[in-house]
Amino acid sequence: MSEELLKVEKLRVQFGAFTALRDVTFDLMPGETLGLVGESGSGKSTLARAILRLIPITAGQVFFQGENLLSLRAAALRRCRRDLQIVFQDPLASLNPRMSVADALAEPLKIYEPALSARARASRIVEMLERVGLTADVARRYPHEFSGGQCQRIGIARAMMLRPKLLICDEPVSSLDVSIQGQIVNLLADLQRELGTAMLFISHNLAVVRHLSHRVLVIYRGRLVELAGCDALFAAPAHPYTRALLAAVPNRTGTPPGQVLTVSEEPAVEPANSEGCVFHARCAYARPSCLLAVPSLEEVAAQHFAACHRWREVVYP
Amino acid sequence: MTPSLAVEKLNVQFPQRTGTIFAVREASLSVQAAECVGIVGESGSGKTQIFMAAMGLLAAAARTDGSVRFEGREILGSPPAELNRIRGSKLTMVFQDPMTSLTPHLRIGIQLAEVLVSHSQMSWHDAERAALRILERVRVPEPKRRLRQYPHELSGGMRQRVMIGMSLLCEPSVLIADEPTTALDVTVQAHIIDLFRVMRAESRMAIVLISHDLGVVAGLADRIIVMYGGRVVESGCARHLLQRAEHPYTAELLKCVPDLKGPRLDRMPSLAGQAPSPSSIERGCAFAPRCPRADARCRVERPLLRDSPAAAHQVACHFPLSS
Repeated sequence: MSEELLKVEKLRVQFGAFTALRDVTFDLMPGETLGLVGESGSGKSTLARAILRLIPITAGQVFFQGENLLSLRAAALRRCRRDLQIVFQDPLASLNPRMSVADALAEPLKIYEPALSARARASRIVEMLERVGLTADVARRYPHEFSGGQCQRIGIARAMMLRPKLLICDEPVSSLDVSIQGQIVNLLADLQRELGTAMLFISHNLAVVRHLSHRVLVIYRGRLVELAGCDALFAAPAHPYTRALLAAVPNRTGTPPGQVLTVSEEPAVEPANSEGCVFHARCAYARPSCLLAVPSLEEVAAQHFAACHRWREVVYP
Repeated sequence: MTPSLAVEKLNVQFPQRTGTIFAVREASLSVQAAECVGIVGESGSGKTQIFMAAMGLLAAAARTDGSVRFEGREILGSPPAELNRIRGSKLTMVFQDPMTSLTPHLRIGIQLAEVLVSHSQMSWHDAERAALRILERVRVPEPKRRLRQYPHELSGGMRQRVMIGMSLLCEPSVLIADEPTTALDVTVQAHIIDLFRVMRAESRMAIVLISHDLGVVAGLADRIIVMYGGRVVESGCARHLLQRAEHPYTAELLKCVPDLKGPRLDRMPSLAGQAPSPSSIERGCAFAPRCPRADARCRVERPLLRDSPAAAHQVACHFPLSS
């Protein structure tokens, strides 16, 4: 078995009294796409930022290619970040409005490959622009001249300039029209196939995650609730939250009434740092006993893990 | 029967230094009482601008012509004082972002009651009682406590419920919901769509549901209107349109609605190319550059909206899918 590219162990991120992430453990293999699903506020983006060390980590470990990112000093961390890139949700806001596309794409090269000549840089930029489906002539233009979909292509091109080993995509298609989302998703899939980049793909859009991912991780209020191979997760979800999430997605004929209400709405107040299952307040399967202990991840099938006290009743009703 | 809201040959333009932006071009549509009409299109297709024009909320530089009738009365271009008699009370709108639509430093109760105090000359005391009742109606749990809370203390779904409640306070004849669930998570979205379903069954109000996602509209609308490049390109009964789209654009858009059943596809369906720039001069069909069925005629001759063989179904295409 090959070595993990990324290994996250018992990660905990706390903002004051609020715990954004708790005991999150998973790994990511080279070339793999791991989908990360959860609702807003569940800690998806916090996880991305914690891995990149853009926010402080309260406890736990993050290993990237065997190196503990948390103990690295500035210079070593900078070297590591070359292989760790991110694409953000808002394509226009993540580009500097005063930098031309060429300048934006040249920046990573200037920092990490300073020996490169201006000509070599320019040709790398053109090559990457063409790879993401743009033409060489966009290099002289500025972000405001492009549509959302085009800006996202530029953002992806910038992230891929250094051929990173891991690309973190934080809701890269959520601000785009449904009609354009597929273009960007297909581009990411192509880039991954051609360049072998591993991806942590964060989205609340389940169809997109299903399309791209090898494995999927579901988090709810800062805790990992389910982790499984993509097909297994969508065909036989074991956690009641995952089930509710899948049932709520509208389809071409509209969501049938009644089916959507398999999960109650978010509760008014969250019991502060409760000891039990984080999902119990909305869960159709919850029993008082669910409040007694935090469910740990159990293997419900081969390579399929869920953190639910009552997964047997969920899977085998 | 007089429609609750009727838009006829509406044009919305924004003159700019670099040329004119044609946001809406000759759009006509109507909504009857108790009916839900879904308006679907990509960003920039003009779907929101039609209703901003109807509500008198366009930027000062905008130029409009055509007609917008509310319960038979012309309201397009009416002075604000006149519009204020109906907007926010009889003709209401719910926006995409429930956070920026509420005032952050006022309690929910005051924001709700204010609507009734200013529109119905109700006393603050009565208005707050009505606010409580409306929160119960939109299924906000613990409504009494909510009245004393500030917007930031509520979750996104709860805020959107408050906004919908606010829009219902004066028992509107028309509710316009502009991407009401786009900022929300799927489970919350499902609850909000369900709420619209309940509201619709309880009153005879007309609902206009604007969205870029056909899946959201599919669950609620009786009729669907599809917009492209500022124009209505197809309209018809929802069930029929979803099963037998006539316009190639609608058909392509339908393919983009995710399906979680079925096998995983090799490529994720999407529309190639980009939506037309609203500042471009029209020549032929705006969808032609992206259309799999287009030929030379489509590039020069603009198709008019015509009745299709199916009842009450209209399409603007030289080569509709049934042909």
